[in-house]
Parts: sequence; C-alpha cells; structure tokens
Amino acid sequence: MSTRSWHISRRTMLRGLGAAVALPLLDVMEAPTLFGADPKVVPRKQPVRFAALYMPNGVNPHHWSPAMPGPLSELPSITAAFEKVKSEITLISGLCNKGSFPLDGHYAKVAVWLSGTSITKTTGADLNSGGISADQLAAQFLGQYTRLPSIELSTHNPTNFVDNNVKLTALYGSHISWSTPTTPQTRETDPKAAFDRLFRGQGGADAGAARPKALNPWDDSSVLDFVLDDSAGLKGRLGVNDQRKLDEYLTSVRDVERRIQAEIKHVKEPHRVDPAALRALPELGERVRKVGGGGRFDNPQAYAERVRMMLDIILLAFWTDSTRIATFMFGNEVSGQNFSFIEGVKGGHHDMSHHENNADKLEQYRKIGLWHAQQVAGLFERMKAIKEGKDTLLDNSMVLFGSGIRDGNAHDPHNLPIVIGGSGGKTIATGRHIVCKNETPMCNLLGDILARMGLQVDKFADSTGPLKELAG
Amino acid sequence: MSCARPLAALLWSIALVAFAVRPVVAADAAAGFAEIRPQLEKYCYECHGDKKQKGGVNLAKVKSLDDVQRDPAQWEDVLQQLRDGEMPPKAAKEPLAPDLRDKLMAWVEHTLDTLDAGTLARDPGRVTLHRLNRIEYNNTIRDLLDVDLRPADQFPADGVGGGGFDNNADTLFLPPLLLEKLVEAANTVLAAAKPERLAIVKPADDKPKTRREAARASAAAFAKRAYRRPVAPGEIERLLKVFDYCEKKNIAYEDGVRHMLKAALMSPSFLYRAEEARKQVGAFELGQYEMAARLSYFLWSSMPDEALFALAEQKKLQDPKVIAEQVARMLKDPKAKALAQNFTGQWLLLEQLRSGAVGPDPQKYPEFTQPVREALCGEPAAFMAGLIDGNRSILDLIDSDYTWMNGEVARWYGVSGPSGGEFQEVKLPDANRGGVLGMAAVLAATSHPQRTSPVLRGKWLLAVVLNAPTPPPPANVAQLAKDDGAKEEQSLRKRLEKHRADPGCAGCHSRIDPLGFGLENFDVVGAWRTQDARGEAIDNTGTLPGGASFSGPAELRKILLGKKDQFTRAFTEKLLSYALGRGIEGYDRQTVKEIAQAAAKDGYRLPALITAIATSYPFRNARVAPIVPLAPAAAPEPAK
Repeated sequence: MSTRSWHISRRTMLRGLGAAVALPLLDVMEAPTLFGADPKVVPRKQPVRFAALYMPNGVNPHHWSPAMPGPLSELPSITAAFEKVKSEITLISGLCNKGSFPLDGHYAKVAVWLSGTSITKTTGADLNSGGISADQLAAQFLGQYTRLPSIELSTHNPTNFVDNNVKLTALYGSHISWSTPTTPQTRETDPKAAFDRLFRGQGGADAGAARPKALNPWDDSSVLDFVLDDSAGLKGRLGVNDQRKLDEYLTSVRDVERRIQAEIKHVKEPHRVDPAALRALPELGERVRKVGGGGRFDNPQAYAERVRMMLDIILLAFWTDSTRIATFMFGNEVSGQNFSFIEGVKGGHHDMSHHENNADKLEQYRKIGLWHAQQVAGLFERMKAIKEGKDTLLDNSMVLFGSGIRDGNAHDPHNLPIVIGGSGGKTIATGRHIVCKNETPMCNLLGDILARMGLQVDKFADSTGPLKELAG
Repeated sequence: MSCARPLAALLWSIALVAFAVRPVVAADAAAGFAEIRPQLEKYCYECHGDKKQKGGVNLAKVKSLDDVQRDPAQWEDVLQQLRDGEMPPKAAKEPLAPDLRDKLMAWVEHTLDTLDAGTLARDPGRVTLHRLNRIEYNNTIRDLLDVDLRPADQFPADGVGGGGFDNNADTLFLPPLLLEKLVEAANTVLAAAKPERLAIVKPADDKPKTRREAARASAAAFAKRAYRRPVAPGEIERLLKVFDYCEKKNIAYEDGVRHMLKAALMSPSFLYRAEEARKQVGAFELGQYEMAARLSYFLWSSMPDEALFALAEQKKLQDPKVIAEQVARMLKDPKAKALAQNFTGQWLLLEQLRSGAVGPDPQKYPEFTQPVREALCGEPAAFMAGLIDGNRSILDLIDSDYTWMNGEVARWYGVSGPSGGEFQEVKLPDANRGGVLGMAAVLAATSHPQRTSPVLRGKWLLAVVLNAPTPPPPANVAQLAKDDGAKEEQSLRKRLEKHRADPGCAGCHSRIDPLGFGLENFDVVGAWRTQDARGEAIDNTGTLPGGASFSGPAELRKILLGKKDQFTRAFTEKLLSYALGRGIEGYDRQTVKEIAQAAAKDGYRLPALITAIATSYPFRNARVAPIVPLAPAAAPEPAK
C-alpha cells in the first residue's frame, strides 16, 4: 500500500514527479504561471463551497437585470425566480471575458467561462483552453480536505461534432472545467453514477462486488502502485506529446490513490456529518435509481428531473462536506434541448436563442431562461433551509449561475448574466445589484471567489483587481 | 493558433528542406501565376509584404512559381485562410469578391496538386498516444477475455476531434472519473472470464516458489496478448509484485492471479495504443506489432488476432503485399462490421440525430421515435457494410438503385419485404432515392425541427460530399423563421432568394441553396412530398454557379457523379482520418491524392480504397515530434 503523504497540492506533486523521471518541460506544468506565484492557502475554519452552474445559449437580455444598482427590490421576470431568496443573492452586471471576444460563435465563450483566457482554434490536435479554470485551481489546492477534490456534472454527453465551418471541435462548448489548459474535466452525466461515486456505501451502490472478498476495497492501491511503476517504464520510450497524455493518466491515478487514502481516513476517523444529511442520502439514492441513465435527449420531462437530481447531488455533496467544489452544465453550448414541457414553448433552446427580435420567440426564450433560474432558485431555497451552526449551507457557499454570452441572438459576450447565491461565509453583502464598469473582467469576480475560499492569488488570468463592491 | 505549433512546424520544415529537391509543376500553373500575382499584391501585401509581415508571412517575397513550390506548407495555410473566409480580414478596405476568392483558391489547389510527388519531402504526421475509446475497449475485452459484457457503455462518452471521429487520439482523455470506472470494469470482466482465457496456470504444489512460477507463466501469457506486443521480463516482474502482495495477504491463489491480471488491464500498455518513440527525431517506419494494432483497430476497432500476431513475429507486416492480403482477410471477418458502424454515422454527421440532440419536432412528428431514429441511422451503416462485403464502388454512396433496410426502416419508407432487425439489400422502385442523399436519417439530420432547410442540406452536401465547407455567416445576420411556414405569404424559395439578394450573402448561398433545393421533395423526416406546408407545388430545380441546372434529386445526383474525383478525395480524407486517429493536414495532400487515384483505377471499389489506406505512407510510418518547450499561455488579447 502506498505510504505517500497526499497533503501536498497536485501541482507540487506534478513537479516532484517531473524531477523524479526527468521529464522534458511540458506545458501542462507551465501554464498555471498565469498567476505569477503559487496561490497562498489560508485554510478556513468553516468550509466555504463554490459551485458554478452554466446555462447555455445566453438569456433573454430584457428580463434579467434590474434597472438600478443597489438593494434588490422589484426584479425583472427571469430573476424574479429568486424572490424568496432575494436577500441571499447578488446580481452582477458589466462583467465579461475579453479573451472570448476574438473568435465568433458560441464555443469560444464556454471553455473560458471560468478561466478568462482564449481558446486555440483547432479541430482537436491543439486543444487548449488557454488556462486552468477557477474551480479546478481551487480543487488542486483545497481538494485535499475532502473525499473528492471536485465534481463535474452535466445532463448531456459532450457534443460529438467537429464544426467544419468554424474549424472547432464542439468539445470546447461542452466543458467549463479544465484541470490543465489541455485537459477538460470529463463530466458525469448519469445521476445514478454521480450519486454512487459520491456516496458509495452510504446509500450509493457498493462497487467492486467482483473483487476477491479477502481484499479491502482500497487494496486497489497495489494495482495503482503497479500502474505508476509501469508507466515510468513506458514513459522513457515515448515522444513528448505522448508523455503529456501519459501524465494526464498518472495525474488521474494519483487522484484515485489520493481518494482511496481519503476513504481510509474517513473510515478510521469519520468526520462529523449532519445526521439529517445522512438521512437524506438514501432518499436521493432511491430517486436517482428511478430516473435512470443520463446523457440523452429523448425525454424532455426526464431531462428536467435529471437536472433537479444533479443539483440535489451537489447540495448533498456540500452538506456532507464530500467536496467543496462543483460545476454543472445544464447543457452543452448550442444545446437544442427541447423545452416543450414548459407551457408555451415549442422549440429547441438554441433555435429560440436566435430570436431575431421576434416577439413570440423572445417570449419562449424568456420562459426557457426563467425555467433555468427557477431550478437554481429552488437549490438556493433548499440550501437556505439547511443549518450549519448559526448560519446556513447557503451562507457558507458561493453558487455562481450564468452564461458565457448575454443575448444569444448576437452571441454577445458583454455584460454576462451573472448571479451568485450565498455569501461565501458572510463575506459578501448580498441582496444587491452590483453594476460594474462595462468590460470589467469576470476574473475579478473569480479571483474574489477564490480568495473567499481561502486561496489568495495576486492575479487570476486577466483580473485587474478585486470587485470591492462585493463586500458592501 | 497555438504559440507552439508554428515553432514546431518551423523546426520541422527546416529538417525537411535539407532533403527537398525543387519540385516540378505543370506548365499551366506557371502560366497562371502571372495572372494571380497582381491579385496577391492588391489583397495581401499590405499586411504580408515587404513593409509588414503579420504572422511572419511575406507573400511579396514570392516572385515566381518556384518560390511557391519551395514552401507548400505556407500555401496550404493560404488556401485554408481563403476557404475559411478569414483572409483578407473582415475589416479590410477592399473585400475579396466571391468569384475572385474561388479563382485564387482554385489556383492554389491546382498548384499544390501538381507538385511532383517524387521530389516532395514527406511527413507521415504524428499520432498521439491513443487511449482505447469506448468501442475499442469493449471489443478488445471481448476478444481478449471472451466476455461480451460491454463495460465501456457505462464510461463517460468520448469527445470527437480531427476529422470528426471519436477515435481521434488528441481528444481522448483519461480523467479520474474514467479511471475509477476502468478499475470497476476490470473487476467485472475478470470475474466473468473463464480461467483458460486468463491463462491461469495451476501450481503443481503449494510451495511459495512454485506458486510464484505458475503466476509468472500466467502473467507472461496474458500480458503478451493484453499489451499486443512481446513483453519484457521487467514488465512481468512488476506484475508479479501485485501477486506477491496478495500472497502476503493470504489471498487464494486464483484470486491473487486475477488481481495481478487486473493490474495488467490497468497498465497504460493495455489502455493505450502506444507507438514507441525512436531515438532520432523525424519519420520512422512503424514496428511489426504497431502495424498489427493499426490494422486491427482500423478495420475491427479491436486488438489483433493470432494470425496478425504471427505475421508480426515473422516481420511481414511492412510488406504491402502482405498488408493487402490481410486487409482482404480481415474485411471478410464479421468483426469488420465495426468499421462500417463506427465510421459511417460520424462521417455523415448523424450522431447528433441519433442521440436526439437534433431532430424532428416530437410534437409534429411523434412517430419519429428513438427506435426509428436508431434504425434509420443504421441504414447508411448497413449500406457501407454492403460496399465492403460486395466489393462495390463508393460512387454508390452518391447514386445507387438499391439500399439496405430492416423491418423498421422498411416500415418507415412504406416498403414491403424486409422484417426483423437484420438489414438486407432492397431494390429501389424509382430514381428518386438512391445513395445517402435519399436516406431519411441524412434528410432529417439536415432539417430544422419543423421545416426542411435547403441551406442546411446544401451546406451538408458541400462539407460532407464535396469537402468544400463554406465559412460561417457573419454574426447578427437575419435568418428565416424556423416554423413550417404554413402561414407565410411567400414560399421558402422566394424568401431565400430575397435573402440572397444581399451581396454579402450571395457569395456562399449561391453555392449552398441550389443544392439543397434539389432535395426539397423530401420532408423533415425524409418522406417524399410534392407540396410544401402552404400547399404549393415543390419546385425542386436549381442552377449551380457554373451554370449547370437540374431538377429533382435524380438529376442532382448525376451532377454530383460528375464530380466523382472530388467526392473520392473528400471520402478518402475522412476515412484516412479515421484510420489514423488524427486530423488531416496540408502535408497529407499527396497521400490523399494517391489513395483516391488508386481507388479510381480499381473502379472506386471501397475495399481497394481501404487497402490503399492501409498500405499508404502515413499508415505505415510515424514521426516523433521535436521536443520543443511550449510557451506559456499568452494573456488574452485586449478587445477592440
């Protein structure tokens, strides 16, 4: 069994590995230099969680932002979904990712939503988001405190398409989480699999039933140790690009090893989990088993149910402190998800986003945006109902919800629709609409979020400084 | 473009230039240059001339055709920029008229096409360490362990890249999420496999040494097949460490061996198709076992069989004659169905339809159910399998008097005869259908949910059949309504004509729309119709920019048959991309041309084309990328 200490960041680990097997300089290790120096980790007593929920295809721009900055009073019809949790949210206007401007179309806006960089135009050979995403940066430094460093979820499989007209692989439109600039984080699209992965043995299915009975589940360490040895043997015989792929594999092996260690620790010294959370687990387990596999488009009603489950899985993961970092995509960019289960909506999402200012289509586009906001508002309400000491789970979280474009009709990357639920451990003065100067980097906000999680970075991608208004 | 690629390309071209002899080109290309050069001066020199060299490109240095021929890669890039509509830039003072763009492109293509193959330095391209994709994992487990459990169906879906295929090495990742599932899959399949398949050797007695030697024999026999190559003693010793661990824990012998074999199934040598680097930087001939794996994963999406391993051991798999014999043998094997199944749907861009991401409006077409979708997407795959089995011409994909149907597909078309799930060949009653253009899956995938789209169909035809994709429309351009248009005053054709009156749109739409109108008799779900939603008779005529006119799908197909060499090259590019697991680059031009010519010589037969790919230079060779430290990601460009 491995005896390595995992209380070091993954990045440090990669560097150690590089030294051990004399790797050539790889971009996988170099790209995070966007930050200048390593972030400083200041662990917090009360964990602060971060989730980012991505809505594809933008939003009807006329029904999102309140007219005036300041305390939230009357909300436009989409953000009115947050009425019950109005005092717990912050609406922010004026943010954008300038790195997403140069390439037209949808895809360039998605992959960089949480990284503030620019993608490389490619059908696949040079896949590169330009930088690590904020959630993954946080996971690499804070993931050591939880059983899983982060979770990435969606309801749709990645769009399997290379757009020959714009010479881009649709992979860019299917990933907001990038653990390195060249490694998109694969998302779990099946609620049952997502649930079992998080809560194995706690209402989730027990995997590895086929394993010899005399071996503990974590005896996989002997297999993983073998893999590390075996890879070192192969590595010396590979070209540089292949070594990058192998590094990606090794990073995954170490992640899983680290997880096994965390499970052992968890069994030895179970940390305090709200008994109510443990009671809620089997109930959600039942539900995920009923709805069945994800990744498909065929049944719109099942889609709505799967979305709700994925959001509940995030809630439970946060509540049980199984992870503190999560991303979820309601769909891939250019999603044609059929929303005919909403009354008055006849078409697919992307079609409606190209409304051409036609009143009927704008109204359907509004309703689709409203449905998304309602799902998120529901999550906020459920998080608010969960007590953590004197505060609530929502208080101790920052749940970012929005899109990489504003008006889908024009693929407009300015003034992104952004709302944050929760106060990051009572550090955000919520209940307000903050209006930033036009073209304020989204990364200013992301840097602030990282700081509130206990990760101090001097600069995140194109950030120019903190969003001072956030603290009130 | 990444920062790294031009640099790598530059180093690479320096390496090649040393060997390159001046190519010889046809005389008419030389004559054309005198006419082309003033256009380059007018549209390009301002940014790519002696004063400014944006992107390091100076076209003013090109003073004669010889200069063009010295740097084909540069001109592949020029061609790409023209084709994508990226150059001259949108903000240029003088926009490039569409016909002049076509003329420039035609000249560059012609020039590049007529370079003398014999004198060109060749580049086999780089294939990245290739993780087995879901289908390859399932099939490999099936052939290795004789268990058909399809565990990879539970893995996260693979993304696509390169030519648009999910076996593109660069876009296959191995995230922690997948690794966890691989561990579980290994447990499951090993528990289900029979001891003889695992090469489990029973120890003669219970002495630790005897047990270990028996385990070693198992490891050696199993790993050789699992890794698809001879295995070094050190590798077996590493596996035995896992067995030793189980022995220490007093695990039953057979369980211990299984646990050790699980390690083999988690080894990168099993999960990845590794092609080992050679010491020298540059192109090299692939090894025997690497060739065996390339052949088997191309034709079977699975591991090599005993016959291929034997030929690899005899060092015969670089012999073109042996390769051709093997291709013929392998295509006769039922496992070759994998090629038709995995290639066809992705080539025809049907996967979005199959998954339900796009498709007919379920309220308007409730009968277009998931089983119907899947059956209709099976039609082109069965058709392709028929081309392989029947040694037929790929031109049948453009025009044929037959297709393949199973019960579900026949019901959809209203044809009697076929029943059940198996596809069979069916003679078509009239010339309206035939080839892929008459297939409902293609027609539905190229429609909007509520109405047909001559634009989507034309765009699809240009991109898939003719490999001449059009650049994307400018942002904010007005679009036509996507409903069925029953309430519109004018026909779709009239509305599109109005749209085309804008000269900014006409350049591309005069090429796109007429092709699509030829298929207007097919509705959203591919049914034949003679009236549109407004009750007006369908006008299925079209005139192409060159002046050729046609009416209806049968005549359109004849026009496309006239472009059979363009189609053959388009098809070759896609199949080559699939075979190699990488995108097709400018340096592949010569290979694609040769494969297409070989196929044409043999009656355009698909097996001949497949053989030409399997014996081609990039299929039998590879290159090691020079080790270039990649630059850190640049800060985003400020917005204008």
